[in-house]
Amino acid sequence: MRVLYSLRLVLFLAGVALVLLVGSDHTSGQDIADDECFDFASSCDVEGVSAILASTDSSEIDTFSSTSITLDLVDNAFGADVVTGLFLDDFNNQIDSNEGFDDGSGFAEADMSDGIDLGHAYAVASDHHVIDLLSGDDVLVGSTAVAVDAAAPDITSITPVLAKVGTSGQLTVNGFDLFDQFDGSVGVSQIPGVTWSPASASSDGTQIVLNYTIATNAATGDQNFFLATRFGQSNVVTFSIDDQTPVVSSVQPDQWQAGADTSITVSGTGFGACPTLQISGPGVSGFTKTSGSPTQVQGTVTVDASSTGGQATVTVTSDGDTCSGFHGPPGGPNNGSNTAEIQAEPAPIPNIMFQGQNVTGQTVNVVVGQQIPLTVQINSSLSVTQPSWTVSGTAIGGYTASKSSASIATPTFNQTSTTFYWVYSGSQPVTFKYCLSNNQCNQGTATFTVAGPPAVSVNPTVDDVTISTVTDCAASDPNNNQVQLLAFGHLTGTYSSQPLICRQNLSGTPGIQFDATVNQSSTSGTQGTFLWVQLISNDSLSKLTQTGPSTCSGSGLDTQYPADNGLSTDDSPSNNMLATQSEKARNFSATMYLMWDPTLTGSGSCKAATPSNASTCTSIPVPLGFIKWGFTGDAISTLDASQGAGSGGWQLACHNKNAGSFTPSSASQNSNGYPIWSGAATCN
Amino acid sequence: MRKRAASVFLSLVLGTTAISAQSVQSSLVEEPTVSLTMVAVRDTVKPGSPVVVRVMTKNISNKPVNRSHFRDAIYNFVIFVKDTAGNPAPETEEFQRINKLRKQGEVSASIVLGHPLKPGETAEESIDIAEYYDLTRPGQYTIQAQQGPLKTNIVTVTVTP
Repeated sequence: MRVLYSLRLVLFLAGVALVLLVGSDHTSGQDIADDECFDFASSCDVEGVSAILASTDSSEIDTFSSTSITLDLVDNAFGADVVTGLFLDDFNNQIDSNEGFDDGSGFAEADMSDGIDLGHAYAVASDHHVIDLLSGDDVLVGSTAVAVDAAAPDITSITPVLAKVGTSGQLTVNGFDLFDQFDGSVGVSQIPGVTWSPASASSDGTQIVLNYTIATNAATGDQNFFLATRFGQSNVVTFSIDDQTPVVSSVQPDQWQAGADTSITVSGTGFGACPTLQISGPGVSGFTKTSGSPTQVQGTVTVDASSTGGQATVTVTSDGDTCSGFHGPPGGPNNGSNTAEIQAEPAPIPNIMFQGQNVTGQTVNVVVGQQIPLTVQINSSLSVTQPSWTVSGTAIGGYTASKSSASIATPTFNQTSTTFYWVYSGSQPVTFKYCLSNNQCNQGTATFTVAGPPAVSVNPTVDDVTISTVTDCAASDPNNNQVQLLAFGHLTGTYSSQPLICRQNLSGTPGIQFDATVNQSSTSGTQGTFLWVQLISNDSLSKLTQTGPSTCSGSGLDTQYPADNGLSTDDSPSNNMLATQSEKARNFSATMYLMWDPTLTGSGSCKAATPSNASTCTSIPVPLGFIKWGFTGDAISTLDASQGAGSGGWQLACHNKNAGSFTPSSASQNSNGYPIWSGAATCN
Repeated sequence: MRKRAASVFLSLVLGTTAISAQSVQSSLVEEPTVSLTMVAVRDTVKPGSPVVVRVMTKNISNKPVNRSHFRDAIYNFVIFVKDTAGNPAPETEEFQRINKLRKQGEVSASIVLGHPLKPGETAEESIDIAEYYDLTRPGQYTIQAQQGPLKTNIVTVTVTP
């Protein structure tokens, strides 16, 4: 391959862009050596030429042959002669011939002009003679020849087969007869927007290299590429011109806030003249393009407030540089993308509302047993998910008590509001955690200083098991109206086995007396109400009659809730003996609880629960402590049944009593120290 | 006053029990020191619902009154429950058990000596009548409590269908 040495642009054929002059010569000359002059003269020089003329075209081949001798030879009576022939494809196939004689100046020439059959090789061969004009001798001093392929260029391949607009490069064309064998020119198919220039060519016409420059507005898609010479146009091969693949180099700004519209500028290359904008991402609810150019797209993106945040993808799609459709390699992208970061709407610190006030970050004074209704205010348009309360200390959802049952409710801590009660005092933080529907989470904490109940001590005063004699106003015989009771305590006075008859009027010493002492300095400033609740662990009453023994036992609430109010109460479980009975025994054990209700309500005053009235307060009682106590007693009749009841004769056989000390309630006890039951004892 | 109390008691005894007047004379000769009043917590209830009445004992004397009582209020009163035809309401099984013991003269209960009722002071006792009488049949019922010679007012409770 040789470097091109000249270039000129000539409009050669319709549809052919240019001609490249790569340089060539189809004249074959031969300088005949002196020793071929037969020593006719001291100096001898013979020139022979065979040429296919540049006037040759696709229809005619023109040749020229000549023999030229020097003047020395002319002066010595020598003459020139040339014999030429035109051959087709093979030197055995001569299709024309001619001979030229010396014109007297030492120069002989011969021309030929023949029709051309394209697709064949033509050669001109000439024999160059020197003739001794005096002797007539003819000496063949040499031959010259030159050939040409009378064929249009034949392209076998091009590399590359495609290029993108806006780029420059080299196209290598392989084939045959790729350029004009006379002047080295070649015509290249005209492709709008593509500029060609020569780079190099092989001397045998099997390869040329072209420089190309493709304008950004060049025609895209499959283009016809061919070459042309004087012998015609080559076969057509496809040279594809693709649009540039869009590349998004930046998106500004690249941080977008959820719940807002953001104006953006998308920069890059290859967008084409009328790019389209596509934006996707978590919460992207809309976007618009306000302007577009091959290197920049401007628009607005809208991100919904509910966006969870994260990466958004900005895609610019090219419709080609002429807005007529994007041309690219099969399956190749017609778009480019880049990313931006969506900032989710942050979850604000929740306002924990208590009694109409935001107590987040605050310290609030409350008291045990006080109803603590909490709600939250969250300044967000998004929905709240995963709400949860974390309440330190012992907090319960409520304490419900009646004759039939008592239970502790579990507070609901997985909603945006909650209501609970602290049972014990202390500094208790309450934290509300939540997330928004965009998965952003936050929390707030309020601290409650929970004042405790009054500090109390309870001292039981325990009497003994006795057989107490009382007057039964219901007795049919006023002279025999004394009734003996297997009693815990010493009882005297009037007793009514039939309540219709009289109001009983008993006095004496109760079996057990509970007296609570309040350390006033420890109160929280609320007087509150004390409640006594007694649970019977076991009350077993056995009787022996003429029909045999019988036993009744039971456990549960002792009669009513509460058993009593106030700072003291007493109990004297008793059972009267009948004449039909010969022995009566009782095994009794119970736990007396002391509770305290701060008696708080939303507005105005209220009353804690009494044996006759349910509580009207929003507060609940909290346990202060308990005392376990009990007794056993066995009474035996020493009289014959015929002597009748109430006439004496009952003796206490064996008996016992016990009372523990006051055990303060604590969260570690069963049911957090609360008395719990599922029914009233029925055998007392 | 004493005469009126005696006549009330006599008519009561003659109408309800064979216990002789002589046996209770000692309790009648005294001036009443307390008054009894009854109120119904709800005038209208559904069948099966509690029918709670409160019996208030008020000290109407000028000195403290003994307030010893059975912790279970049902032991402290006789309750009369009648339908509109004047028929006594049927007793529940639990009340039949209690009454069986009472008829045998046996009382087994917690006695609370408590604190004396001060002059003018009122003590309340609450009784769920439905625990002792079957009030599941819709209709009107009159309720009255009696303790010794003293009776409460009559209250009317309607059980609606």
